Amino acid sequence: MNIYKSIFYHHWLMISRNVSRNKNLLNIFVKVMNIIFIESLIFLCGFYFIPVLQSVTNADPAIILNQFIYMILLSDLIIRSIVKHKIPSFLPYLTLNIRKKTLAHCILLKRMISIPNLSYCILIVPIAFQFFVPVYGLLSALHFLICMILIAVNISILSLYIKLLSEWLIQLFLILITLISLIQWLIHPIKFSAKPILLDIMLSRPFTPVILTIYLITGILLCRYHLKNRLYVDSTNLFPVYKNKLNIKFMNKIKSKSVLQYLNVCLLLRNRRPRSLLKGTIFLILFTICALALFTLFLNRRQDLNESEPWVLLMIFIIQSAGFIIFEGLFFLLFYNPFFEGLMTRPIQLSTIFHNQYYLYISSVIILSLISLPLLLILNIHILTFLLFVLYNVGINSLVILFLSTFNIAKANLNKSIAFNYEGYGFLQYFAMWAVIIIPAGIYTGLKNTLGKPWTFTIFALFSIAGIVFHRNILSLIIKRTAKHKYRMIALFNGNEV
Amino acid sequence: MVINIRGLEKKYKPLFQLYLPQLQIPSGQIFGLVGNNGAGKSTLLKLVLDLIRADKGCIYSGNKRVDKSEVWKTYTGSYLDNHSLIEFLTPEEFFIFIGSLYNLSNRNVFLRLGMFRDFFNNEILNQNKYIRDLSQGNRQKTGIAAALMINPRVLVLDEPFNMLDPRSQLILLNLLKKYNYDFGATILISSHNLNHMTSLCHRIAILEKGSIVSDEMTSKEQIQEYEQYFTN
Repeated sequence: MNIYKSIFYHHWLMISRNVSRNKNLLNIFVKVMNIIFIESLIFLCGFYFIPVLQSVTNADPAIILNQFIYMILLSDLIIRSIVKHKIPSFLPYLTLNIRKKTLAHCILLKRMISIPNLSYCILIVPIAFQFFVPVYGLLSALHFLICMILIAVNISILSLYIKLLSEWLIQLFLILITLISLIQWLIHPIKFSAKPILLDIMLSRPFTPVILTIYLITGILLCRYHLKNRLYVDSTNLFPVYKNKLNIKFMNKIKSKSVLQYLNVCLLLRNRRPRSLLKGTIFLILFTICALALFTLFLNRRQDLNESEPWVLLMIFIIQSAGFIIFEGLFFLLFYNPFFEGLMTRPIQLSTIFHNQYYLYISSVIILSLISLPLLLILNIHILTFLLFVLYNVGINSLVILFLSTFNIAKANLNKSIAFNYEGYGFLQYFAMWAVIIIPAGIYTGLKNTLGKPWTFTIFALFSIAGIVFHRNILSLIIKRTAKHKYRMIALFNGNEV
Repeated sequence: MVINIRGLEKKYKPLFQLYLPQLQIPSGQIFGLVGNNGAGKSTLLKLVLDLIRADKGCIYSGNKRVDKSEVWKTYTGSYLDNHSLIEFLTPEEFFIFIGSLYNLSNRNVFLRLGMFRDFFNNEILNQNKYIRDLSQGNRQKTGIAAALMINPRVLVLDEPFNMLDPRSQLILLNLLKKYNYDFGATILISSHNLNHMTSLCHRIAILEKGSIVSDEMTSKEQIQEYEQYFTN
């Protein structure tokens, strides 16, 4: 037991002593906020939609709730399979008198007592008591609660198992399953003829927790077997990584004229941290596409939408074309930090790096908007507004994000297993991420309510075009700022205090 | 290319202070820096490369101040530590990248890398490995080769012998001597290896707590003096 305690204590020390205590407390705060925010958003949106759906479909709320729980569990599995969790470094323990089985148990325990699982409990308890006790009684509610918690732990073990087998293939498979089920859902928006099977099982079958526990034990045994086989000094990471040779051959085929663009592509594809942000971006864009489809087809409120332009819709428009620059761009200089010193001693101008990055951003905005456009044309909602926000993302947001990226001053390891590895991720990045989405949507709505739609369009378009026309001047200001703070950045990138 | 240091001061809290009132390294000289850990050798080299800002004073490379103009980058090659490498590239990709910054075609890059055949010992090129997957010594070899490959007129190396095996150390020693002889490059080098330093450098300075306590042209007898100095 002492070994377990020591390893968990070391894990805590690893977090709290990584750079400096204060910064890491901020990071932990950001992490907890993110998880609670995302999960509560999913839950609350879901429960908010139940009465709305009921009014639209006249369906039984139990059936709607059943579909909702099914959706939650599927999306939870996908999110956890895509998102990576920090695992305590096991290498120092391998030469000590600790059995590999113990280390594998530590990893599994850490996995089960994770923040998402705890937040699951926090969120599901009030829901169970609020919704189930009045209708089904206390015993059924408790039964439901135990089942949900067991499913959550099962999901965390299953997602670990998925990652231990093959990171990419199974994630691709999960995304495909989701897309197929979504397409089915879109074709037959509300097909609620079935019984609420899932809910029925969780409320009335007494053996469900036993079966779930058996599943859990099987999952734990399988994971333990795989973990024990991976615990060797020469394994750089517990999870399978890209095959180097394939990647190198693939990259050799891409003959980029710009060496910097080539460097950026390598940076994105070959390092865990940027790669998982890229995956997150793809996931988010898929999510916004689903949300758009929900707005129009699922709720069948296209008429209302064409008149009102809700704030959330504007935010979706911004994310759809600027997803990449928001999630990758904010960390642009952070990603350069492991070789920033090297670049600074070569004859490469900062202006070249920034211009190069700017052109990468605007190309990504254009490519993403072209991908989203067919769906918007099919749904036929606010094409002009979407195009206006594409223009805004090219003219203003890309420059704003480039400017914000110059505030990357923390040390970060690119190849550390990540997302939710918040090295170099502070308050600024956290709030900036939301600000570049929420503020333009807010300003647009405010202007539209006061000046009317034509004036709002004119003002937004004029500012965006001004951003495009004067991008060189604005970039030179950003470059000047970076040049001025170069020494501080180099020191902080090396992990030194300034 | 002459390197001139005037009234240079760099303070680190709470005790360390690098202070060099006057130091000139003539063109074509191999200038060695030796000193205990924390003496300020790497700090001085970083100041020469404009990677940290001096509190006072300035450094001239040629007739340009390194913190005011970036012309020095076009003729300076350097390798300090792993931060000079882009670890997610393969060595070949890294050399091509560096070459492109100095307008070298791919063919020229590989022609120039020919001179490092012995140094690489078939462990760097065509291995289908990223730099991060190479051993420490091979990473160091990659960085040193990338610095030398561009035929710089000023070469800055921080402890280049540290991670290398004895054979590679000797090859590097000869490479640097030959490079200095052929191209007349100014070389700034820091190391703890007194034998190599006395064999390689024209002039050696001892740094102690941020100040130069000895600065002399190298002779065969000097190695005993240095050994005595560091023993005491």
